[in-house]
Amino acid sequence: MYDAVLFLVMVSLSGVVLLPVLQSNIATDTSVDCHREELVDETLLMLMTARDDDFGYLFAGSQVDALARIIGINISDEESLFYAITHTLLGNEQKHKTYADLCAENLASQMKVFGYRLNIFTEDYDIQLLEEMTALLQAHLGDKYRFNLSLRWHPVVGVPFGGNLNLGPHPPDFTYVASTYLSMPNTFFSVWWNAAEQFIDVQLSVLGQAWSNFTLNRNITVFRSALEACIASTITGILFDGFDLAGTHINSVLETSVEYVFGKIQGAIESAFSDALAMVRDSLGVFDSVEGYIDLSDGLTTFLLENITALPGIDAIINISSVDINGALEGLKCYVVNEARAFLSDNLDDAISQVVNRLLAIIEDIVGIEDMEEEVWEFFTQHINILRAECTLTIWEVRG
Amino acid sequence: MTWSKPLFRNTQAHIPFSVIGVFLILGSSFTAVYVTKLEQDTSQGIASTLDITKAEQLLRYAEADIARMVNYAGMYALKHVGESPLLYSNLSSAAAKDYADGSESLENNPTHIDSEVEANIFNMNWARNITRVKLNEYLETNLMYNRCIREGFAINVKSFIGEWREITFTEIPMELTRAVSLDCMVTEPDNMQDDHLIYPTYWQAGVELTIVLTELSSGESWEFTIHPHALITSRLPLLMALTYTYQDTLGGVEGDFFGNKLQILVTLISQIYTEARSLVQWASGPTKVKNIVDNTWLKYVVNAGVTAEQFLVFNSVDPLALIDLIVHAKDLAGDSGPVGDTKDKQDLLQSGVSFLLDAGEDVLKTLEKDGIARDNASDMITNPQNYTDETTMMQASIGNLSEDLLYDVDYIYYYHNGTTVVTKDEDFYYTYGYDFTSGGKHYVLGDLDHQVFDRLPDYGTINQDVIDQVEVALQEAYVGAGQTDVARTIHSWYDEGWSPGVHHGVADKLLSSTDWTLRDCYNISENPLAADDVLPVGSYVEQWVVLWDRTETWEICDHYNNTCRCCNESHIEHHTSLQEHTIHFDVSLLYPPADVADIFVEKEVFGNAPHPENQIDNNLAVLRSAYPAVFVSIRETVLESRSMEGLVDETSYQYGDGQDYAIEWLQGIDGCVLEALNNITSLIKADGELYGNISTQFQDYARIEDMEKGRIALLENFTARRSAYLLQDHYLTEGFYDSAGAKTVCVMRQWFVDHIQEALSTSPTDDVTDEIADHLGADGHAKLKDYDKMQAQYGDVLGSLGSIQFGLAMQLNREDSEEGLGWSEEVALAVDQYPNYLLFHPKVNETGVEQPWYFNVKNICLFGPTGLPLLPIGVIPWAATINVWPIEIEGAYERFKLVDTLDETHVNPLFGHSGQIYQREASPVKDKICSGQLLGFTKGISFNFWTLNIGIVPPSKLPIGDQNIHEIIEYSDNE
Repeated sequence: MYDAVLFLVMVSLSGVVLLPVLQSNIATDTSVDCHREELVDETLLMLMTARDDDFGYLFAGSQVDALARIIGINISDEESLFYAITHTLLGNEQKHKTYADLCAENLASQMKVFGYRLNIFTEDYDIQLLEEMTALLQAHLGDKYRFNLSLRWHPVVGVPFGGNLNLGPHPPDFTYVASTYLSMPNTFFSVWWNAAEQFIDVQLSVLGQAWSNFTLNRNITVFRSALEACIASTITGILFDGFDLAGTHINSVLETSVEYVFGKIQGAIESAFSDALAMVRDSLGVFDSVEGYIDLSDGLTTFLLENITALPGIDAIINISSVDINGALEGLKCYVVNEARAFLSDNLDDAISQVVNRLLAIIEDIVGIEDMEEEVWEFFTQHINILRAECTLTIWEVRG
Repeated sequence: MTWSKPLFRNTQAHIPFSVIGVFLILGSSFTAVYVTKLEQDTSQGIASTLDITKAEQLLRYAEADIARMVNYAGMYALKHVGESPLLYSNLSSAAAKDYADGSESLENNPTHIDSEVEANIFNMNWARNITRVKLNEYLETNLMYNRCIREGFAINVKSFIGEWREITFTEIPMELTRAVSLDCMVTEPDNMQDDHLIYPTYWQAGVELTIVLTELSSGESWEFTIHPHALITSRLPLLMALTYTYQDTLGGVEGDFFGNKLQILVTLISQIYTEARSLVQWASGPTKVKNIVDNTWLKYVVNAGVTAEQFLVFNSVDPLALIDLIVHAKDLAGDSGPVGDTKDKQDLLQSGVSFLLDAGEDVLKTLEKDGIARDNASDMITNPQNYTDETTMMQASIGNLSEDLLYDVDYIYYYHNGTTVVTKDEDFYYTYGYDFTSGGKHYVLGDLDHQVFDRLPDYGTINQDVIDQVEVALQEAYVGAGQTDVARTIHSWYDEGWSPGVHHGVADKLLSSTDWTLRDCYNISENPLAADDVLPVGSYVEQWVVLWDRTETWEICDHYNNTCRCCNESHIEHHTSLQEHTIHFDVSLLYPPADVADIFVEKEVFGNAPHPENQIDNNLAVLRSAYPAVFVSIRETVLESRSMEGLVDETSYQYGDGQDYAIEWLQGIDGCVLEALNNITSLIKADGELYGNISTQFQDYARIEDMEKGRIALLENFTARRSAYLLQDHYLTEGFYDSAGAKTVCVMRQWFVDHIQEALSTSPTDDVTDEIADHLGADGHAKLKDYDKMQAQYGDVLGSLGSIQFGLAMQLNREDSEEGLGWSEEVALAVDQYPNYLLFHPKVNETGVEQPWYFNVKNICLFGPTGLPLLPIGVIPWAATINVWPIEIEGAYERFKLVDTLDETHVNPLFGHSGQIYQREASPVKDKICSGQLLGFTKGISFNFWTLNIGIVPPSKLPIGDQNIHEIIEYSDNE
């Protein structure tokens, strides 16, 4: 009797030992994890290589729609002349672009500063792109997975300027992530960066003089001050104040963006819109509205003035009650730069100190100005990259 | 051995159950451990696979991104090439030769790029190089120097792409199906393959790269060779090919009699119209239709034909051209002449897509091309006093410019008296005569059809500036020819050891002396003396001793008297005083400039260049005259003179530099220097073709920007030829001038070339801008500045927006039989041309230079105003009346632009995207991105053909023909 009981106990013990092992899914889980890792990688790669053969959006689509509503035109009527003309004039179509291309080009067209989108005319691009991307990812991943796609183009590290796209809900804790860099298209920023590189070269020659003095007197305090001044003036020149190059003043990256967007809005858009539509009106004689002619330039001017004067703190720069569009745009330029400077000033000091400390820490290893220049170049190229964005895809399994 | 008894006694089965139980536990434990280990091994295996996959994945990401870089670099290249494609090149630059890559010999002139095939190859190679440059920028920024670090790996590209031939471009052809087609009216035989219309549509770019993957933790690296390739998402190849089709359709192709479809279309339409007008004239008489064939309606027919062909080729037309056709419909009435209000309408429409400016903008229109150049030229003639010399100089040739720098040039300004025919009975002539001078300018009555102004160089007078500069060059070359430093030491004593003394406080007193007499003079130099007529080389020293003596009379006090005042007690003595002068002459001959090899060695440096042969170039002659004349004279003077007082005295003498001695063979009107400068002018004139090619591209410089482009192109070509003009190899050997004369000539050549270059570098824009600003009234400069700013910043944007698609979409199909792949897409194009409507405009201007755009029609009424009655027979006077009009038509568009409106592929940060442009506009093509060199030229669309119209009407009535007897041969007048 006892033997049987003892035997049964031992059998039970054996079961206790074996059961967890038999229930273990380490290999299975690992395999599933591997599959999901591959899935997220493949999906991201698909975004980089798959082409959208026909993509399109409407330039200034949001503004045109708003305007049409104001003047009582049914924008959903695809047979209407208004629809035909606006889509002929303002429609943009792209063929055979990869999804990564479309994303990168969208980022380049946003020009966001501190979340404020300078280029308000490509919002329809965002809308259409997000729709396409959502449909693509849902089709590719199926209902079993949720996803979050995040793209970010910040040419200057740590400065919230550039563009970003986010698609999908916020991811939970346990996810599968794939990320990569995306090359950005050539824009006017590339031209600006060429000038900025020359400016850095000029600054390095100033640094070279300080280095020469240091090699003679080994006065680290003086050299540190010179180094800080050089790095600081280079950074502030590139970011905020602009810089002089061969007798020409080059705007900073922020000024360049603001000038580009609002300068063109001011000078070109109103002319282009009015002229193009006026030409169609003159040619066909049928483009009538309530008042016989749509003056888009006035509409845009009003729109811009309302938005600019509504910015908090702008009244310290411009007289809101009497400013015209030119004054408002000039004020906006100062406003953006000032805000950026205020936001970044503390971080900038830290960044400058860091690079100076790094240079001073390795100063014994620096045998010549070439090494010093290389270090400084390293700093700037690590922190400024006009031609690269970052893309992260996160997927997770839908539970329940 | 055997056990005598069992080890365990098992009477109640205790041991078997226990043992089995223990074994069960042990077995299950072992099994659990083994299974766990097995799973771990499996997991590790999967995990390690994951690591490998991760590295592969990084590579795939990199390759995918590089493919995108290739596309972006390629798009940048195609955008650039499309905006200024090369159509013609004489391969004058190294870059042009490189891009031609031997293709220049394929068709026509074997040393020029001058056909579609050659130009396509050239443009593709050029695009490949731009792609290479931009791709290298991408690689450097994103995939080098460990700038790409992911997942613990650094991904780098091993090296840059060094040569554009490493970038491959593969043509992607597609079948084009037009929405509206009339194949017989489009010239595209090369594109027709098996009844399918095949057009190159895309280029696919590829490259081979080596990727280095480095694991940062271990430092271990792996190299992979990848071949990323990408379809360049721009349809520039299609736009280029369609434009060539359009050009062929308008202008015909060699060897194809029916290739000129415009000719056929115009002939058909005009023939119908001619016949209709003939019948109307026959029926209604000559008052209703004066001229049957009239250039005015021919003009309309040609414009309509061009627009129709445009639609047939592109399925799209320039909307403004269409509007112009509508507003010029009255031209069809023939005899109406130019329609006044239509030009206003055209201006209105054109300004509609231009800039919004205030009322002063009308002045700006004087800079536009439409006929204004002729008006400006006319104004320049009628009001020469309003134009400064500088303005006139803008049109002067570069050869004339060089002469202006050399000589004091007089100009003759031709004037005219208000008519194109110079007659002597005009008031102006009676007032001013054949020629007169006003405001310092000389005016002569002239034939304005041939010359606007002329110049009368006065080769007898060299500009003072040149003369002065030659003097400077001479002084710099013949610097410090000789110097002698003289130092004298004097030693004095008396013979027989006597010396004046003091006795009892009274000194001996010198009462009188004779003159100094030269007793001896001898040389004590360590080196042998050089003969007086032989020039010493280098530093030369002479030391001489000159001995002088004289007799002195002294009063010596009495030694026995306590006072000296008692002269009676004194006595007189005579002593001989001697002086020995040791004189040191340090002759330092010649301090040649450091860059002159040796100015004393006789060389025959001139000859082959524009110089007299065997000219001995040294300044030995100068020194030969200087040395005896100065140094020997100095020496003799110093040795024979005692004028220098004091024990030690020093002085120096300089002589023999270029300032003192004229180098006649270099100076003056017949001198070598001027001959050399004249030679430069000759070389420049011999390069006339080089500069002429540019001037034909810009002709009248009717716009400031054209004028500037022309000036810059001239400057670039001149700079490229600079070394040929300097001819430095003739004067320099291993960095040293062969002689002072060689230096003088060479420096002057450089000065002259610099001056020409400086003159070319000076932009006349400011003068012109001031002129315009003055006309704009108050704030004129500010208005102009706004205009320029807008044009610079927004011109491209407006340009693309102004090109509105006005037509139908065409279908493109791609069938890939090998891979079974294919796709379809649509293409729609916008056309923008200038002028929108061809008005009569001469092909060449008054100075004989071809205009950017032109349009001429000539029709000849072959049988005169009556026509030719055919086959006269008895009952009725003849069978029919016929007249024939041979017609010659030629025309050219200044600008032709095609925009892809269904694939806005290029990124524009403000507008999102903009379409690919293919633009032909007469301008030089420069390789701005890569080499910076001039590649060649692009040009607009042109056509030229003859046709024939016949009018046949029933008999019995005459006349049938053009009734204006002065216009039997009707030329188109300018409008």
